[in-house]
Amino acid sequence: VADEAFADFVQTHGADLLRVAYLLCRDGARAEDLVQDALIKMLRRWRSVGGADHPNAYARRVIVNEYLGWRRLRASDELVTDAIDLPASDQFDSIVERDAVWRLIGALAPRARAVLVLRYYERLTDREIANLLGCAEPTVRSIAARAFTALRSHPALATVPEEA
Amino acid sequence: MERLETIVREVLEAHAADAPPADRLLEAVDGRRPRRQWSAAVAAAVVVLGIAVGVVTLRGPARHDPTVRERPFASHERLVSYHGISVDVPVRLKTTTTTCSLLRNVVVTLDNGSVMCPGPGRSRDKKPVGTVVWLSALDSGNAFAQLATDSTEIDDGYAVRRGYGRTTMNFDDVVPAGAVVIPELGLVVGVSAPTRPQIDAVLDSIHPTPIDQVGCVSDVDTLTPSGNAKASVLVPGRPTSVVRCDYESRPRAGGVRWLIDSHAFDEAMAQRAARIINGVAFAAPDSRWQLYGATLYVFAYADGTKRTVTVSGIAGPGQTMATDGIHVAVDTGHRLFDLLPWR
Repeated sequence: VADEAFADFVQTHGADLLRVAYLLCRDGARAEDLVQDALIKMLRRWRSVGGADHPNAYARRVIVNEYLGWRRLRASDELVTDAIDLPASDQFDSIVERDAVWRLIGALAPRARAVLVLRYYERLTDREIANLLGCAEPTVRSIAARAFTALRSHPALATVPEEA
Repeated sequence: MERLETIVREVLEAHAADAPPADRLLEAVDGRRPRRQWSAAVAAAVVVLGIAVGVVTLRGPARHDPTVRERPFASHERLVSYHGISVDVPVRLKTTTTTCSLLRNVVVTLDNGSVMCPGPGRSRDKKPVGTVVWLSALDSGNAFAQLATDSTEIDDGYAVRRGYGRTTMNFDDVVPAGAVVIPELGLVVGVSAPTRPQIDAVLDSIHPTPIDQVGCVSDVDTLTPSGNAKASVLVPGRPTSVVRCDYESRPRAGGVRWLIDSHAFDEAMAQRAARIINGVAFAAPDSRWQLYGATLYVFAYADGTKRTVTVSGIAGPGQTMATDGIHVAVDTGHRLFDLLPWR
């Protein structure tokens, strides 16, 4: 029964978890590793986790923590992005703008990247993110604000207006 | 919600579609799930014993791996080259290269080593400002050029203008500033620092370098890789070093691109870069690609030969392309873009 419930969980949420993992680590193979590791951990504790209200939240927490732990091991690889030029047409600008955002998010510190993914892709509240990361809510806001400062400092994004 | 927040959300949602499919996920987990077996327990015990023996063996005389966590060619950090000139920056400064929207084609160095590209009229970094060096094009209309009013010369007879003043550019506080304009090269070197001697230390160090200290040419009109049709990979063999030459993304009038940054890496880093490049699969070039970014990686070998690979971004899908002029490899991830550390 436990295996069936677990299989149902994977069938239902596996794709979502893979997408979050991919946005965090930006590598398909690593995303698969992250999710598989998380699911194996869940399986070991399925009796307690499976009965929880939100096993998906537990899986997400494991994935984020695994990702942050993995990135800590590779901290020396954190990089500053290089310049991206601004070609002429509006349409091309828009493409480059989005390209720049994707690259710059990839160059953010791991926690900052996690905050953006959880806030803007997973649409979690800052409180939920704080709970997941084990930090205070103002810390989440601060990390997000610094991330946006970093994004805005890039030439390709400096001209993006403040308001939508 | 700010527009940038909206863009971030849209970009994340778009790229989430690139995640691997989940159809074999359960099978993969099932294959990896732990199963209690005596053979596995014995194997684990052997591994643990092996690690313990290894740890004991490795302890003793301290070992130093020169490739671990050391920044390559640290001595070159003092010399920053930019389109045919080089300047010394104080050795205590970290250097960071970027291109700012306010002043196109700028190299910024700051005491805390951070990039500083604030928008006009506001400060994005409240930290105390130390020495900052801007290397920029004369046509970018920056305020430093207006300070340079006195005619003089630098090495090799370049006629330049030089001057001093104070600037609030990008800072909340008014700070001493100085500038040298080199009309023949279309360049401005602006410096702000707490004192005049600190400004002069940088301005006095300006000297022409048509080929910079690591071998990058100051400007190019074509980015010419050097391929070999018979090679099965972009970087064959074991390179002994690699130089990265970063040129402007967009060519200037006449199709010339200026050198905006350069860096040399040692053998370990060269081989790391080669492994990453060679690990990216070849793809057929697409005429619809719009490329941006222009970085040359020049690999050198013990026999004196060289191999040059060009790396560019492909606008739209967020991919990066590497080519030796014959083969094309396309990276859908971040490997080529993050090939080697920036400053």
